Amino acid sequence: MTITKLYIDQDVVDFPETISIRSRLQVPSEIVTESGVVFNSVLTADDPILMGKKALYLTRNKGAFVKHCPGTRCYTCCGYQILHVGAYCHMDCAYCILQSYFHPPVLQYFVNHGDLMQALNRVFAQKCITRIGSGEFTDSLIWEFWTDLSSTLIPAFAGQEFCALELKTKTAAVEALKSLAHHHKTIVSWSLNTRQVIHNEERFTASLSARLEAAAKCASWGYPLAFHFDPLIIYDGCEKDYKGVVEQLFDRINPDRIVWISLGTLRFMPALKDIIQKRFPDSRIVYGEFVTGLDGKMRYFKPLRIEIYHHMVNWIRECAPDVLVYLCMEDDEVWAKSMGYIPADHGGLSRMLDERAAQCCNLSPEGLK
Amino acid sequence: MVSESDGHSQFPAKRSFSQLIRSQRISLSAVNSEDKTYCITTDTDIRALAASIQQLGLIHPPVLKHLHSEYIIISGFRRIAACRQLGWSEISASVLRPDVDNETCALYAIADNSHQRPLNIVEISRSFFLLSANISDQTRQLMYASDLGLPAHRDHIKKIEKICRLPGRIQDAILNGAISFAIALELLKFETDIGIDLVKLFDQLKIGVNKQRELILLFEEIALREKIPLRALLNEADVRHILDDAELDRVQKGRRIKQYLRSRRFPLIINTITKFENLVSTLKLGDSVKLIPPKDFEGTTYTLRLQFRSHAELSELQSTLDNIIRNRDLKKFLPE
Repeated sequence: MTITKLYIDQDVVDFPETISIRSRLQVPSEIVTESGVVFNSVLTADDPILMGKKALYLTRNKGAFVKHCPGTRCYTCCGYQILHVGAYCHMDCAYCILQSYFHPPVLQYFVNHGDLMQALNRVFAQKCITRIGSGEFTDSLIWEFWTDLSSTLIPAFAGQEFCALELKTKTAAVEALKSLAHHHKTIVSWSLNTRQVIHNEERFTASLSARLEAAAKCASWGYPLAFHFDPLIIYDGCEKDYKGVVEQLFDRINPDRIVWISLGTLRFMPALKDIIQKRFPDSRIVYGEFVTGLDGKMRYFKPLRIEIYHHMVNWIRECAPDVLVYLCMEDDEVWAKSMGYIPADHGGLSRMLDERAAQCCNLSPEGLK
Repeated sequence: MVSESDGHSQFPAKRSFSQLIRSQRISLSAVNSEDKTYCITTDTDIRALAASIQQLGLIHPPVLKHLHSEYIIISGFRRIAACRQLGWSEISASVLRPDVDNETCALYAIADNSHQRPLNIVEISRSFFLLSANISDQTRQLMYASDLGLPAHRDHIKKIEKICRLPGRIQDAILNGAISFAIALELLKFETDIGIDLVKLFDQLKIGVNKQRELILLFEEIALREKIPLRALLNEADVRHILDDAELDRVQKGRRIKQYLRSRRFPLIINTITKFENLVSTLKLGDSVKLIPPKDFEGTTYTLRLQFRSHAELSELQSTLDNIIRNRDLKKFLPE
């Protein structure tokens, strides 16, 4: 998706990031005194969700740059921290929660990097193993096209020994990462899916082979890697396809480079169903056997989730027995039936991931509390 | 449209209207009854009206418009049909001049109906359609609607206006109560034939709005999930078999159809529920004990409810509890 309009918050017009983005993104720009102007222009479009992907709003993050991932106590949460560098995404995935998460959804990039660095320094100063990712409210690497975000963040994390940064993406935009000193503190990770899902449900994203190619490049540059099979989508023939993706992954990537692999099946707030039906009329993903989860989200019926997880875990373990595989937002029953253990057996999921991050990212063991 | 106003209503002043219309005798052979452009009424039964006209004469003359060599009907479709049925060759009518615009004709048509009797939902829809087809300014549409005694809320109008575009069979179903206004709006998203098939189904089953909505959703999602045409699904042998089963009454048919569709839409879920229900039935728990699974088997907490009125009754439940705990199939079913 191409950005066609740049909105600039009057308060940040003179920020170096703003000046840089403006010069790199040669599109009409408008300086606004209040965000309402941007939101209204998006809301009045025929498809506000699509419109929000074409307009980029440069502004200040007035809230926290580092936030706890909004997990739920009904399912096992990984204890992740979100680095809130921007919001929304110019790629267009049918199942993307961001379509209904922001009202209205507008591509926003926060340019008050002084505040961002202060927030990070406060986290670093806690000297506690922390996994921080920028790929929750947006894709971590879409910003590479117009900003120097990675060359700001990666060296910052490289200069400390308690926190790992995870850059999660569906792009192949990794060239800028090549020459950066990362000291293994940045994990570059990809969301993986079958060719069918990428083709039908993930518009404007990189192909599977392009993602794996980019991952291989990052591995060659010494970056630790991670992969997320999330959302796993159940359809006729999906097992064969997912097995193929696992095989492709390990054909290209040495398991030793992988910090973790997460698995999560498709889940969505009920309100997203209408949006998917309207915006992706050919998509069939909402017609699976869903039930209302304990967190109010629609989830596949539990035995279906267990079955696909069980297969995935076995396929991954056949290729990479030592890679840490974990489930995103599942309960102990699902863990036990698909993984053969529950997180509490190993000190809890958060602890398992912290230890793995410490091991793979050369973090200080003193940070494990 | 004439521009003078009486200062209160949006309608043009009476003086202006009077210049547009005059009473005259018209030959019925010159009246085009096929042109239904301005027809508001849904009532096609003219027997009582014909009897009245025969006895008392045509008290209230229809409004016609002289157009080319004939007259089109603006209001009075039933009266003219009744007069034809009575074998009349000529009637008194109020005739609008040929240069009277469509907006004015629409106002005449609506006013002559809405000020005589309460309009049903299809008639209101036809009225709104006439207004929107002839008046582009939405604010004026709303003002006219209010003056004509129609609901004057924009969102309401938008919804109701669509009703008159539905096929006659579906409009009839709304009027005879087989489907609600809300369901009719849902049917708009389907092709005409599908909407009619669904209406026939609801008419046969006589089920309430919520069940109708559930069936629509099930049919629609099965068709999308299995990539088959919805109409083909509606007419599949399994569906027809239930509907044509002479042994079943309509309540049983409704229940069977729903069961069939649910088990096709959610095969594993329904299979699991059925397995659990069968398992519970083998436990022979009686009326005093209930074993309740977590909702949709998503949680992990099962509930066992015991009812007793005395210590003796509680003691009697001991053996039932032991049976439940010892049951191997249940043990397999429950999380470890």
